[in-house]
Amino acid sequence: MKKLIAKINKEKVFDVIIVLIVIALYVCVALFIYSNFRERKRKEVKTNIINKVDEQINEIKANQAQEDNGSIPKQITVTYSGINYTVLGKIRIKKIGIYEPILKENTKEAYDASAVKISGPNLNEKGNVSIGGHNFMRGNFFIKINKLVKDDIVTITDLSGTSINYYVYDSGVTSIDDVSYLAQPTDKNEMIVTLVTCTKGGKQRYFVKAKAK
Amino acid sequence: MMLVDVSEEKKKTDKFMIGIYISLIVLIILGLIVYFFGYEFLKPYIKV
Repeated sequence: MKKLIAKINKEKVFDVIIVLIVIALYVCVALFIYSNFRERKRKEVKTNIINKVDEQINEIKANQAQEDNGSIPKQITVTYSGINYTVLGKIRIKKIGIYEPILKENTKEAYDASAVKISGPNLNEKGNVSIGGHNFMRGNFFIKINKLVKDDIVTITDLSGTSINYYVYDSGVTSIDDVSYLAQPTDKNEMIVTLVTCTKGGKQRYFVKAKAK
Repeated sequence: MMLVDVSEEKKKTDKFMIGIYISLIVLIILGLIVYFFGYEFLKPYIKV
């Protein structure tokens, strides 16, 4: 009889474990789907913003062709899903497959959607402009900037449609408190782009510096 | 010698396992349906 009771108890424990495994499976599937949907939506937002930027650039080029000397905007506002994004231009790094709008807002929503300008002058102007991006483990944003080596090309396009190639010349890891990589160059004619992201765990910052030749 | 009838226990276990299999099948079917057709419906509720 005792053996039977022990057997029944064992079976009950086994049943509870199975139920917990099934619940865990449901949670895992839900999280996977949510993560996938979130990434799909982020891509939609990104594509939408880039299309708006391209429209703007084409409009400016058309105006220039008609010798209409309207002022070239330094930023445009794109609204998507009720969130306003102020767009300054776009960044392309072919080597690691980055093609993102550059946003002005230094907010969580902006960082979740795309790359963000942290500091510095307007895009494609003299000085050091720093651009930050998340280091998501899903393989997007700036997670791969650590693969950039000397002379790799970072292309920045502003809203006038001007694209300038910047060539990587420096990279490194530094502490969160050290923001020396944001400093303006001593040579006032230099055009520098600094890409910044977190290291794994977010305890340090990884930066890549590139300059126009 | 004492004989114990375990047929009821066996039936309960079988029912339990059938329930588990059904819930797994539901999980797979529901997961596939949501994954392939649910995005447009759930899009407004997803934050970027």
